[in-house]
Amino acid sequence: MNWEVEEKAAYVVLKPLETRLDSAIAPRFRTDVTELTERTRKALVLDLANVEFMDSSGLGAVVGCYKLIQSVGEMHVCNVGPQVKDIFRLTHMDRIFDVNDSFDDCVEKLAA
Amino acid sequence: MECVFGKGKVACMKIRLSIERDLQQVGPVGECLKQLCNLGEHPELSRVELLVSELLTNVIKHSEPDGNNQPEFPVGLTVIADRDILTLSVSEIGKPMSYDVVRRYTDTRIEMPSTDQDLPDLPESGWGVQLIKSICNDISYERLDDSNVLHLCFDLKEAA
Repeated sequence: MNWEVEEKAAYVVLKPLETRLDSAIAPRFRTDVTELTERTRKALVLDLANVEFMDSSGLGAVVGCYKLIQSVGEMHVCNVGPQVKDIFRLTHMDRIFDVNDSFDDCVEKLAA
Repeated sequence: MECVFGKGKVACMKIRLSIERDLQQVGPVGECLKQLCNLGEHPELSRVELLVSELLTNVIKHSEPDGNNQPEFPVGLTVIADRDILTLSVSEIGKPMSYDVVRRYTDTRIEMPSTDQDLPDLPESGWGVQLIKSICNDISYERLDDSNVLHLCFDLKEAA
């Protein structure tokens, strides 16, 4: 999977460069985030600015990441497009994830 | 592919696609369909792409060979757009779907995995069929010769 990662003192920013998070890419996404989390042991900002489409496999991978991160910190999601927002809403995951309008909103929460 | 164009929009359209049993093929098919149906950026209309992705993924991942069918046997997707009604039919050669699997699709109750349970029990799978049911107006199954065929009906006008 192609992604950008930026490591800060208190958190890591992960920005997938893929436009789709679906069954073709979800297993790799899950593996990459697991390795990143085990290495950094820090909170995660998941920046979905490039992701235009997510299906249930992609959602499952994000849920897996969310569960994994809880042992080391928080997970904040930002820059969610309309289709991704829709699948979060349909599955009620918008009640579970911390979904933010912007990256800055995530950083504010992590600094609080 | 057959298209009948109305005033700038597709009034009637029938598309038949044959897709390799490869998850890498699912994305391009969904994207292509979205463009052909002129679904725009409305999130609820983009659910058609989600439907196609969930259906094809399920068929590719879970269908069972019947002894005669080979992995190279493709999955068929027929899309019929008639004004505001879109019908998707997915067919694959394989063993008949079990009663339980058919019922998971056709039972009208939508049972999303619970988000109220404790975090360790939060499910990472099992969302696909429930998503399909929550989006479609009607789902039916038929066994035709050696093929399983799922028909899904989606009202574009209602979704918009």
